[in-house]
Amino acid sequence: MGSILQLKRDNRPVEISDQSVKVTYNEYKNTFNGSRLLIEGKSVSEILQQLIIFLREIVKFSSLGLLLKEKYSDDYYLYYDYKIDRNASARLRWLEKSGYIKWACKEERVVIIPDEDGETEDQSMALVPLLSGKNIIGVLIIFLQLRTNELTSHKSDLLFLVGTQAASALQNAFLYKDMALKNQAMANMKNFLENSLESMADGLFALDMENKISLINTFASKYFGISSVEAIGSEIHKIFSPEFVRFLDKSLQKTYMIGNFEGQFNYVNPIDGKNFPLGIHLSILKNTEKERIGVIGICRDLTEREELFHLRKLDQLKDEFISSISHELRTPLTSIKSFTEILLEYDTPDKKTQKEFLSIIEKETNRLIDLVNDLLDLSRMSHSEFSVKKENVIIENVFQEAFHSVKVLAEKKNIIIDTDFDPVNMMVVGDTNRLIQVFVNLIGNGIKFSPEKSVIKVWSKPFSGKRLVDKSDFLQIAVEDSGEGIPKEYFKVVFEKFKQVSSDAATKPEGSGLGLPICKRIIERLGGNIWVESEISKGSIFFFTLPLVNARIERQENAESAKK
Amino acid sequence: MANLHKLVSQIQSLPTLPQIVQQVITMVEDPGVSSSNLAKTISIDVSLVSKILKVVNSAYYGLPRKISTLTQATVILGFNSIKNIVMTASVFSAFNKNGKNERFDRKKLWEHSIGCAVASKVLSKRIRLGVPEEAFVAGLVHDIGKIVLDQFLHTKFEQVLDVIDEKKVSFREAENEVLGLNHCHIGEWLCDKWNFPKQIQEAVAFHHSPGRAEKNLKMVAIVHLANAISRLEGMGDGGGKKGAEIDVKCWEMLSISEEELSELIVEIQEEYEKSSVFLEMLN
Ligand SMILES: [Fe+2]
Ligand SMILES: [Fe+2]
Repeated sequence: MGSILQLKRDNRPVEISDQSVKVTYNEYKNTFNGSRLLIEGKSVSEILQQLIIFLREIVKFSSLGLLLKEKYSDDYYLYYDYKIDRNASARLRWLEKSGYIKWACKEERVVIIPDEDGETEDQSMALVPLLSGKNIIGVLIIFLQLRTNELTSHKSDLLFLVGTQAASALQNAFLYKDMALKNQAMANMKNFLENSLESMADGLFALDMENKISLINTFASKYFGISSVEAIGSEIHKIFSPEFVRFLDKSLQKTYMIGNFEGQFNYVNPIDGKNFPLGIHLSILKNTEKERIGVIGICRDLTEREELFHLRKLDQLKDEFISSISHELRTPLTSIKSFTEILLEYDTPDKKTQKEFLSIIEKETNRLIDLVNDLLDLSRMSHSEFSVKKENVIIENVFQEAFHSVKVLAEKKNIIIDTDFDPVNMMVVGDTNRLIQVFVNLIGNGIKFSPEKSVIKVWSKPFSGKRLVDKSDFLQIAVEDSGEGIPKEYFKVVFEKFKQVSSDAATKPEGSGLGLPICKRIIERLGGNIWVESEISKGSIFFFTLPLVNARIERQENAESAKK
Repeated sequence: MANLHKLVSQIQSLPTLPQIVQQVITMVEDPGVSSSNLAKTISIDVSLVSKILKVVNSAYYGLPRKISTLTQATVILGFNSIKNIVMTASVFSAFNKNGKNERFDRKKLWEHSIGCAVASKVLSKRIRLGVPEEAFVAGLVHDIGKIVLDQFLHTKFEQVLDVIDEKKVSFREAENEVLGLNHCHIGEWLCDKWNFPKQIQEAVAFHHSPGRAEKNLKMVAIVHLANAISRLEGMGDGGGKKGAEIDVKCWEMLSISEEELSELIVEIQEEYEKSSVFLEMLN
């Protein structure tokens, strides 16, 4: 015991002098004040400025480097340097390779590295781990201007303290900067989204799980004719028409079932009352957890697309028409040309033969005239110059007029035309001349395709088909022959231009092939329908309907006028 | 503590700490002392210098480069590391590596003590309590009382071992029965005699009864837990026939969660495996 006391008194290797206590006190006070400044520094550069001023109070140094730890590895990179010259940067590289940085950070302590050879005493480096909480964020490398005998233990302690303070301050500044960047990125993203939503040529809207509109862009609100302010947050049945809501409900069911939906709705814009085809595409909207959060819809006005489609179809029809008509014109022309040539080239005394040839030429010429007339008719109809009168006509009277035109043809084949008109419902809405054309065409066809000595029946009765709700509003007229009949697959085709059923030229009856298309146009213009029913080798029945003039009203009117 | 005075008065040749250790302890506390001062003081003891260099270059410190001079060691590792290496080396040289008794394996006790030292250092580093090396020394000397008993009061030690064999009790219970005091008291007395820092003394005194400590509670808690960890992880053998008793309040005091504990145990095991250099320092 005595020896220890003696040791203290006699050897006195060092003295804890009043002076050194004072120095220590001041240094700690400075450290405290400095670390407060560090924490107050908001930006990284402010903190680094403060840090340098602050370190100067503790140690003399020539330059300084701040190395930060990579996020996902144990590597460090130089983030900031203060007066690092060539010599210092060489030593920094050496230090990186030496392994001391990782060691200092692992041990969580300040490590002083003397100069490589340990001889030049004033070139040591201090490695200060930057410890924020439990994490090392980096390391401060200070190029000290101290002799080894000037290095004291408490200077290391002070440096460690500064390191932890700087680390916390820097960590906060980085977080702050990171957040500012993220906020900026979010703002950019939002801006971008809003811009792209608005710049879309399509309407875009989103519905949440309660069928409330959660998003709608300008185009969508324009198509729907609703204001986006009112729409957002509203349930669909509160802002759309019941028809559209029904359509949407069905579409949504499909969307939830199969993931998406594509359809078209004839939408009526509530603002201007215009209706247009609205194309709609729906798909399920999911959040990042892949949970359904609603439906996203894209909508588009299809008017233009439909018009375009229509134009294309017309164009196609025109091409078909031209190619068919060339064929139709060539056939009679060829025949006329060849018979004319024969008559001119050969001196045929046989008058009978001459007459026969000339009558063929006449027939073919007539056929050409018919064809050209029909073509003119049809083209007029196509160019909407075609107008029909809508007057009250008595159907049997119309038939009688038509009958005069076909009578000769029928008599040639000994065909009897039998009629059976409904005696009550006689008056229809129609155009006398056009309806004569229809009868002539239908009966003419019947005569052409029927065998000799057969009967063509023409009859009428109030319409009892399934197509119309109130059957009594229409009169059905039928032209029934006993010809070879038409296969079922041609029931529609026969009403198209230049489509005669038989493609066999030899059996093909004469005619432009435009008759039925013309009839179809006329009847449809008058608000009726035309169709055919047929059985092979038994005959065909051509039907058409026309609006009836209500007999009852007629009678009432008559009665009233009689009273007067 | 009449018992203690009566007991220690029987110790004929009290182990003394080399003067140099005392000098180093004092110097490190002085903010005016530079590393070259410290290096100069230590360099007088050539065998100590070589022990220091052996330790600092060992796997335990795992320095990336070999340190060849004492000045470099003091600069790079800092004063506290040097101080604690000096203290460790001196404790080892004050006692023999092996005891005279076949019933008690002193080497196993040293291993237990090194395990406790390593665990103390890791815990102290984790909770950032002062200088981790100081906790290392505290852990290292926590059972020093047992060695004092074995080496200098051997007859009493034999009696303690008899009681343990007979009654299957803990070391402390046997000591209390035979001596009326235990290795905690003897250890505390020795630390005081050697002028070890106060917190090391208290950690030694209360390592089995942390609830009774009044100062340096965290250091006491660390050594208490480190002792248990060393036993539970099977590092050496502290003697006695009873397992470690843990005061759960110590965990609360250090606020270490169970997840953290399992991480720490792994770290402690790794450090322990690298600590063979200390055993080699024993006589
Ligand atoms: Fe113990
Ligand atoms: Fe123990």
